[in-house]
Amino acid sequence: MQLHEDKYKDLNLKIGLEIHVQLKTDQKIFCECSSDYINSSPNNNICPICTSQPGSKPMGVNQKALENLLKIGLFLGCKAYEKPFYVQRKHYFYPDLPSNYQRTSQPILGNGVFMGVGIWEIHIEEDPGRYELREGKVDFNRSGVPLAEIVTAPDIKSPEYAREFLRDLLLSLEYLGVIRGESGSIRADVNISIMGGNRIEIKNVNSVKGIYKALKYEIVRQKAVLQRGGTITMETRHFDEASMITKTLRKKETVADYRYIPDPDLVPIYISPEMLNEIESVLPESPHNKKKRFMEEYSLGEEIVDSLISDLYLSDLFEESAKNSNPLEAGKWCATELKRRLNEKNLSVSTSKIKPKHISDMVGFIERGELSVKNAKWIIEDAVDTGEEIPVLMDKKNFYQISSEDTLIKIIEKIIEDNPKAVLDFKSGNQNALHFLFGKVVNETEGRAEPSKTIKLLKDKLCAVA
Amino acid sequence: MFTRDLIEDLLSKSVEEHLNKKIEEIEKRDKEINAFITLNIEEAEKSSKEIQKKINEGNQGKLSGLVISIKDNLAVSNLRMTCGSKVLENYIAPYDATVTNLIKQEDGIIIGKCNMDEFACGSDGTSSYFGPTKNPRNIDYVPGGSSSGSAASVAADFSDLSIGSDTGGSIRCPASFCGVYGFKPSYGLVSRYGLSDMAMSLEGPGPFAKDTYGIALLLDVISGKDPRDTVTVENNKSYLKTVENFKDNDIKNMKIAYAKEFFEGVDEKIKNIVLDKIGMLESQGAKIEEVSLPNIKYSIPIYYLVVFSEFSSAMSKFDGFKYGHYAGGQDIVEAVSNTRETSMGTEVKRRVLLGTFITMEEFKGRWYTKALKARNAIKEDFKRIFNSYDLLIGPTMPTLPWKIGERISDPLAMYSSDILTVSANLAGICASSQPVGEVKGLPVGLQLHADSLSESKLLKGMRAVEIACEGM
Amino acid sequence: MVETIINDRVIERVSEIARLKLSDKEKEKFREEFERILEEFSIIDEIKVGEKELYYVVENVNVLRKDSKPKPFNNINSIKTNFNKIEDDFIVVPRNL
Repeated sequence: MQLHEDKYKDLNLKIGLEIHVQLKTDQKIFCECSSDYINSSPNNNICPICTSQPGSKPMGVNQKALENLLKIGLFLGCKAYEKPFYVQRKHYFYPDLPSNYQRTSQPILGNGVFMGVGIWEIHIEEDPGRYELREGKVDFNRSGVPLAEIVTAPDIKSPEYAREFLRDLLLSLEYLGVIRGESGSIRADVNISIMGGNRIEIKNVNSVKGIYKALKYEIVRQKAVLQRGGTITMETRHFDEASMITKTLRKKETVADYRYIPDPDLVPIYISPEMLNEIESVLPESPHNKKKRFMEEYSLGEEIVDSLISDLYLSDLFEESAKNSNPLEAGKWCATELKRRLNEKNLSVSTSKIKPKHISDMVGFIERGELSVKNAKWIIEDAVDTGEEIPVLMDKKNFYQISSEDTLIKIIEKIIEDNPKAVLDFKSGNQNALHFLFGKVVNETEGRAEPSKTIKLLKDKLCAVA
Repeated sequence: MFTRDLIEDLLSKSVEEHLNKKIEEIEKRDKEINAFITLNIEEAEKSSKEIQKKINEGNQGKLSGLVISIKDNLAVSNLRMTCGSKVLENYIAPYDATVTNLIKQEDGIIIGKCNMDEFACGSDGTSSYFGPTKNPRNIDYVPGGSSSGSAASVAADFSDLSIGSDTGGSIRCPASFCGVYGFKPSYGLVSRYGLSDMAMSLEGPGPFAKDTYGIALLLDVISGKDPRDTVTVENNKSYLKTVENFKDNDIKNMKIAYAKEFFEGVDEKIKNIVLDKIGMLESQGAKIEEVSLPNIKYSIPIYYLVVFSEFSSAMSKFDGFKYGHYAGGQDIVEAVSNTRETSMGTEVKRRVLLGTFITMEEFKGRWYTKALKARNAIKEDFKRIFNSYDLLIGPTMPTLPWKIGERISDPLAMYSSDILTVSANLAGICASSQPVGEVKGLPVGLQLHADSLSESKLLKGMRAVEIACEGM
Repeated sequence: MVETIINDRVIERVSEIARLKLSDKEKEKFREEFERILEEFSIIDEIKVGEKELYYVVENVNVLRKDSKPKPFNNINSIKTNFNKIEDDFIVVPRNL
C-alpha cells in the first residue's frame, strides 16, 4: 500500500499520530504496585504513591520502563538527546488523574522514521487511572503504569495507511518484547487536516479500528463542512466509541493551560552513551538494515522486502524457510499469500500455526511440479488455519499434480478413444475440440494433470492419430 | 546536657511514668496553648509499655522512650493528618512517613500531631483551621510558624522532641519565638516521603529539641538516603558523636562570617544580643569576619514566587474525590471548584491563585522562570561564602514575636518576617536557631548557617554557642 | 513596574484553571492584592542573573529504580476508607455525559 492513496490525493490529507503504548514492566513507573492492573478488582492495585496520598512522593523512574522506551526509540531509528531530561508535571483536572497533573517527561529520543513516516519524538509518562464517565466511577488500578508516547510527523496520507502503519508498529513493538500484550493497549491522539481547513485533534482513541473509523468520519465531516462553505477551525474533538463518530468537547473542558513545570520530586535523568550502547547491543536488527540485507542477500525486490520487514515475525519466518528452499519463491509467498491470509484471519505469525517448514516444503513441491500455483494458495490457507504438515495436506486434498508423461499419455489415449467425434473435429481444424478434450483430461484427473505438459502431449497424440 | 541526662534517667526510671507526666501537662495546659490537633495517647501508652520491656532487656533503640510530637503535615499511619486545614479535617493517613517509621524503629513514643499554619502557609502559627497556637512563653503572643505546635509542645514540656518541617523558616521561626532549638537540615539529608507538600524544592522535615544534643540525636535517627525520595543523599549518621566529643578547640579553628545585610532592619535589642554572642565566640578563638550578601534583599520575592508556583501544583490533588472535604456539584468541574472553594483558607487560596497565574504560559517567563534564574544567583552567593568560611551567623528573626492577630490581614507584612530564613532554603544549605537571650520575657533566637551537608560544622557551632550561653 | 495587568478576565481564567470558585468580592480583593504583591516582587528585575534556571539544589541525577516483583501495599483498605463515596470498590464521582 502506498502513502499517497489516490482517492485522497485532492484533499492533501495530513495525518499525524500521538501514540501511547504501555511499556512492559513488573512494577508501575513510580511505585512498587503491579503493572498488571487488569487482573485485580477495582482499586485493589493501589498504594499511597499511585493514588497521590498527601505526602507521598514518586520513587525513582522504573529502569526497565526506560530501557524498553529506549529500545523502541532506537528500533525506530531515533537518536537519543544528549541533554539530561526532566520529568514534568502537566496540569489538568480529571477524576482519573490522582494528582490532577500527569507526570510526563521531556522528549528522550527523536528524529526517526518507520514505514516512511517520520517519528518526531518519544517520551515516557504515567498512565492515569480509569474514569467511566457515563457511570461516574473511578478506578486507580491502572494509575502509574508506564507509557511511551510516540509522536509522528503528519506524513500519513490516508486512514488505510494509518491503520497499516499502526498494525505493523504494534507488531514490531510486540516482537521487541517491550509492550504489554493486552488487546486495546494502544491509544492515540489523532491530528488530521485537509486542504482548506485547520488541524483537528481527536483525543484518546482507544484502538486501531477506532483510529481508522475516527479518521474516516472526520474526512467525510470536514469535506462536507468545507463544501457547504463552512470553515474548519482548530479544535479538540472526542471520539465516541459506541457511535463511531467524533464530537466537539464542551467549552469548559477545553479551558486548559498545562503549566508545565519540572517535577521537583524527580531529579533529572541523563541517558549515557554506555546505557545506549548496552541497549543497542541487545536490540534486533533495525528495519532499515534488514531491508538492505534482504535485498542484497536474497536478491528480493523492494516491494516484497517492504512487506516482509513490516512484520518482523514474518521476516524471521521467511529467513528460516529460505534456508531450505529457493529464497525468491519463499519471499514471494511469505510477502503475498501468507500475509494476506494472516490479515484476513486477523492473526499474526506468532498467533497462527504457520511454521517455516510449511513454506519451504511448499516451495519444494511447486518447484518439483508436484503442486500447482493455484492449489498452493489453498495449501497456505490450510497451513495457517490447521498447522498440519504440507505432505499431509497434499494427501488430504489430493493435490499431487500428475506430471509423469507415461501416466498422462495413458489417460490421453483413453480420452481419444472415448471421444472419436472430437478427434474428427480437431482434424477438420476446429480448435475448440482441443479445449474440449483437454477439459476431459482435467476431469479425469480431478484437476491434477500438469496443464502445459498435458496440452503438449494431447497435441502430439492428436497429430499422431491423424 | 539536658536530653542526655533525660535518657539516662529513662534507663533507670519508668518510661510510662515519664509519658504520664507529659500527658498530665498536656491535659492541664494544651486547651490554652493548642499545640496539638490530634493526640495519640492510647497508642503512646501501648508503645511505652513495649519500650519499657526493651529497656529492661537492654535492647532499646536510640530514642529509648523519649516522647515525640510530630507536625500534622507528616503521615503517621492510621492517625488523622489534617495539615491544619479543613481540607483534610477527617483524613486518616494510610501510611507512615519515612521519618515516622525511623522514629518508631528507634523507640520514640509518638504522643500526637502538632498544630500548624494551614498547609504550612504562614509564619506565625495563627492560620490553622483548628485555631491559633499560643506562645507558651506568653500566651498573648504568636509562637511563630508554620511548625507552631511542634515548637510550642517542646517549649511547654508536652514532648521531649518534635519533628517539624521547614520550607522558608518554618522550623527556625517558631524555635526562635518559643525559645527552643530548631534545625533545618540540608536539602536531601532527611527524606520528605510522607511530608505533605508546600514547596517541594525548598523543604524538608527537621528536629526540635531543648538542646544541641537532642537535635543531633534526632538527626542521627531521621537522616539518610531513602528510595522513596529521589533527592536524598547518603550520610554517616555521626552527629551525636560530634556533639558529645565537642572540644573547645573545635571552635578555635572555625572561620565565622556575618553579613551586614542580615542585621539591616533588625530590632535593636535582638541585634545587640546576637552581636554579644558573636563577641563571645570571638573571645573563644573563632575568627569572625564581615562579608556581604547583596542579593539577600531579593530573597523574599524569589522565595515566594517559587513557593506559589510549586504550591499551586501540589494543591491540585485536593479534589475531594479520593480523600478530604467534599462539597459536590452537578458535574466534575463544579464539584471540584465548590470543594476547593469551601475548604481552603484565605492564604492557601491566595497562594494557589498566584501560583497558577505565574506559571500560565503567557506569564511564566516573566515570573516563574525569572525567579529560578535569580534563585541560582542566591545559591552562588552562599557557595562563595562557604568557600572561605565554616559558618554564617546572625539573628533568626528580625523582630520579637508579635501579638496574636496583628499581621494576619496583610500578606506582604507576613511575608517580610521570613527575610532572614528563606535564603537557606533557596540555597539548600543547613541552618539552625537556638535561644540566646530574651527581651521582655520573649525569647531571642540566633541563627547559624553552614554549607550543604556540613551538618557537623553547624552542630559544633551550635554547641559552642550553647556553652557560651550556659549560666546566663 | 508590573507590566502584567491583572484584569477581571485574567482573574476569571485563573480561577477556572485552578478550579477555585471565587465570589465577586473575593475576585476584587485578590486582584488588588496580586497587583500589589507582584508590583513589590518586580524588584527581582534588578538582580543580575545568568541563563541557568535552578530547579534542583542537589546534584543527584539518574535516580532510577530496578524493576522487580511487585510489592502490594498492605493497607489498601485505609486508602479506601478515605474515598468520598464508594460503590463496588469504585470511587463515585459526578458523571460526564
